[in-house]
Amino acid sequence: MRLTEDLTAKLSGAFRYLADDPPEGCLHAAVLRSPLPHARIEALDLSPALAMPGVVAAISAADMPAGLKLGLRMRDQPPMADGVARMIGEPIAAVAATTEAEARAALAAIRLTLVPLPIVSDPEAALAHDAPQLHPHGNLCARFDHARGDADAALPGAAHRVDVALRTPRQMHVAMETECGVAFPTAEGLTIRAPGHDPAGVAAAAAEITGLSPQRIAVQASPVGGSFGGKEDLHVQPMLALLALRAGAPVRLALSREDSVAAGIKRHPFRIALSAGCDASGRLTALTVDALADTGAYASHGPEVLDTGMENAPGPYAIPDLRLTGRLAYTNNGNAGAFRGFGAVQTECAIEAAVEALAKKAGLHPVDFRRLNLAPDAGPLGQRIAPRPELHAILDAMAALPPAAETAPRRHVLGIGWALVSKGEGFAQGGPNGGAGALALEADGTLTLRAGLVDMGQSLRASAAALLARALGAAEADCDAILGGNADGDAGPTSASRGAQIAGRLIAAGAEAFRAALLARAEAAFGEGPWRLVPGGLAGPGDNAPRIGFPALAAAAGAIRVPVAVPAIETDPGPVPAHGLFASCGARAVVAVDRVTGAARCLALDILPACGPAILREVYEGQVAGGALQAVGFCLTEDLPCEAGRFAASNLDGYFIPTLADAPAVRVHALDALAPSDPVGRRGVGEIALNAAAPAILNALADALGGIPAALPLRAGEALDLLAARRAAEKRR
Amino acid sequence: MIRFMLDDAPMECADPATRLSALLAPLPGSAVRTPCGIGRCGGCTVLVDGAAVPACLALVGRLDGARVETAAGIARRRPDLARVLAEEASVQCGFCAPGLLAAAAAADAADAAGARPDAEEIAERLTGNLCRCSGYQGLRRAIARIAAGEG
Repeated sequence: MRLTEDLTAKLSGAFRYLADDPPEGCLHAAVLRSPLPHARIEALDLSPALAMPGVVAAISAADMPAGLKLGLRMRDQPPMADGVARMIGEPIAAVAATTEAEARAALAAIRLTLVPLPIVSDPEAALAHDAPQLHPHGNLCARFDHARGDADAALPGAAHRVDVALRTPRQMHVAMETECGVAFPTAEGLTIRAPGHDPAGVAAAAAEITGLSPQRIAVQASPVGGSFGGKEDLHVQPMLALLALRAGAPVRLALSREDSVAAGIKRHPFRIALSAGCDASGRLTALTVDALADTGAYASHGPEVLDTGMENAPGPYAIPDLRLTGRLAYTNNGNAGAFRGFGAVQTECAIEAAVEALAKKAGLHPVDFRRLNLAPDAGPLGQRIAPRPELHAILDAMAALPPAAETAPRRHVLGIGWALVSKGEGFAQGGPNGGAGALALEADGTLTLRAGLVDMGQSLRASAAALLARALGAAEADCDAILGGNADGDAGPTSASRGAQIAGRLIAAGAEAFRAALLARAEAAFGEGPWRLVPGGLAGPGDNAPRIGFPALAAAAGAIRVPVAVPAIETDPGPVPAHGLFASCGARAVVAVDRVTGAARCLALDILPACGPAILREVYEGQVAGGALQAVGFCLTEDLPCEAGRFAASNLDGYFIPTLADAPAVRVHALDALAPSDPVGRRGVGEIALNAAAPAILNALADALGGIPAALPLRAGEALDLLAARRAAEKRR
Repeated sequence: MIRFMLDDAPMECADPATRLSALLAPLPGSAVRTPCGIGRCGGCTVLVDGAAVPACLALVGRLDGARVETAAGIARRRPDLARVLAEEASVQCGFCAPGLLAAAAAADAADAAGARPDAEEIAERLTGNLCRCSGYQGLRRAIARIAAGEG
């Protein structure tokens, strides 16, 4: 399939998502959610709901396996609130009925008694010894400690020093498709169609919940109408699985935007105190980072987000003495988890702000300061990594950028900022870094990659089809990717920018065996060739065009499936989780701040990713632009404040993602070359642009305002205070 | 009984208080989805007698005798408009796409004097269509082509 065919189907509405067109007789689910941020469930009686017209099933935690908790590193989350609700929006009960109206009416009939408990609404207060404990193991969900040398002792002696205090926003994914799905019982057991990142993980969790073995649970998790990490966790799948089995019928649930805002995953707000010092020539000497992140009611990906944030806090720089101290606290402030950028974007903003400020103090151009301090071949925690010569190439390209052409509109002040980031790709040591799938000749003759990887808008399907075509010498129209299922082995989650990498490696690993199988099948069905694979089919000796089309081959020879697997790329096991493969990117941002109102706009972004050759150029550039716009939101317009456990907005009338009018010009300068010895030859480009653009925009704001803002998104009041302080300082000079 | 044309086929609905999105979204093969439900994202945009309307804010009672078009009908009537948007990779996951196509079909309409809008005017008419995936760069390129007469 080709990309424009895919996009045309999406524009016309012909393209189907997983909750579209539910099966005949599908029931509608509705969920009763906690109205309180912290409460004990004193009484819960579903029987009046079951007596309501049209209601076929009703469930709560009592219907789940007793004491079941799900999660990743920390299994701390019951699929439905079990005796206590720890956040507004937590599911307490769910019903399935023949119409949506009947399901909603049934919720109103449920008898629920909640006893309010004290609310933990601040992550710092959560860690006080006398705070109400939200979990049996206390309120400290995770910690990260790493040090080399003695940074606290070295800092006072630095020739130049900068202290950065930064709070980052509770950003919301706002995928246009909310959490949704359909589950239905089958002869084998159960089928769950719901957008997500990890079909094998969903099957495993559904097995725990229902008692069915994972082999009897078919999951379809692709395509997804946007995720950015918001659909990485289980969302409606646990309730749908149980309701479908209880009801003996298909059940569908699509969250309203209000329920998604209340109960869906958010980005972790971080509070960062960073101090960095350098010598008189500009060489970094010491770094301390203290970070506190708010994970809300449950761990979700919080421990990994903290680890990744702290690992990336030193940036790609050589720093002899450093101390990294991170804490992750539970609160009743909703639930935070995976979001593109993944902890690193928060700390990268802080280190890049410090680097830019130190460059100024040392009298060096920001690009030259970074070049002086670059450590391309050593991991930030001292771990063994694949070398990163592309970091030098990025800096060269940044230095070679033409001067920003944008000028300050009337009564605005312009600011220019730079950033260089390098973020670990895939999961840290010990994570699910390998993958399995299959290459297949389908019954209709399509050549496919079959894998549990997920297309969530990053065009993984079109990219994989293109890679397969190139590997085999077939046409793109001959090829496709069948994604998101759990029937062809476990490809691992599609996250951490690894989707395209794993797809590419599976295809590279399986192409020769698959080609051999096709040619052998052709010989068996059509006699001696020798046959060779060409666009459109198989050609014999002397043929200029295919003699046997792939559909004819499939019809004669039957479908073929060749399993393939690739191992994890190893790194040093160390005391803290660390990555061995890094993706790097540079950025320059131009912003304009209105001197009178304090409003800020991003005018332009130059993004310089070094991710190896693009599979499809328009997909590569589209991913960069999409990530860059999320950075614009992170820095300028997006936040979901939480007061006493209650979010300040309930829908998109109170939470503002960038519109077409907010979009800067985004210029992509792709650097294709990685080290010749690079183990993979490519990096996913899905995240890194966001990681680079956000600190560049922050640095541009600092340049315009004469000081680093203490909080993102930038508020007009702080902008005006910083501008006033700079005017006062200039007057004194 | 309210009767209107839906993508050139007759449609009827007995309850005038029905939201158009609630009527259209559950239809098999529907091109209408509601990302926000409160008219803030543009994702459910349809054309009502040629004007862009969020289906989640339209009540069926106002549609008697109207001609309603979803992206399905617009793509048949204006395949080149869809082609330009697709060629410039204006969308990625596609969930915003049907609403975007409908809004684009209305955005390049000429005014009463027959003057066609320029790129800036078309862009202004599309600021109500949120897209979280694309970063809007492809859409900007498509708007330049549409303003130049393509699609």
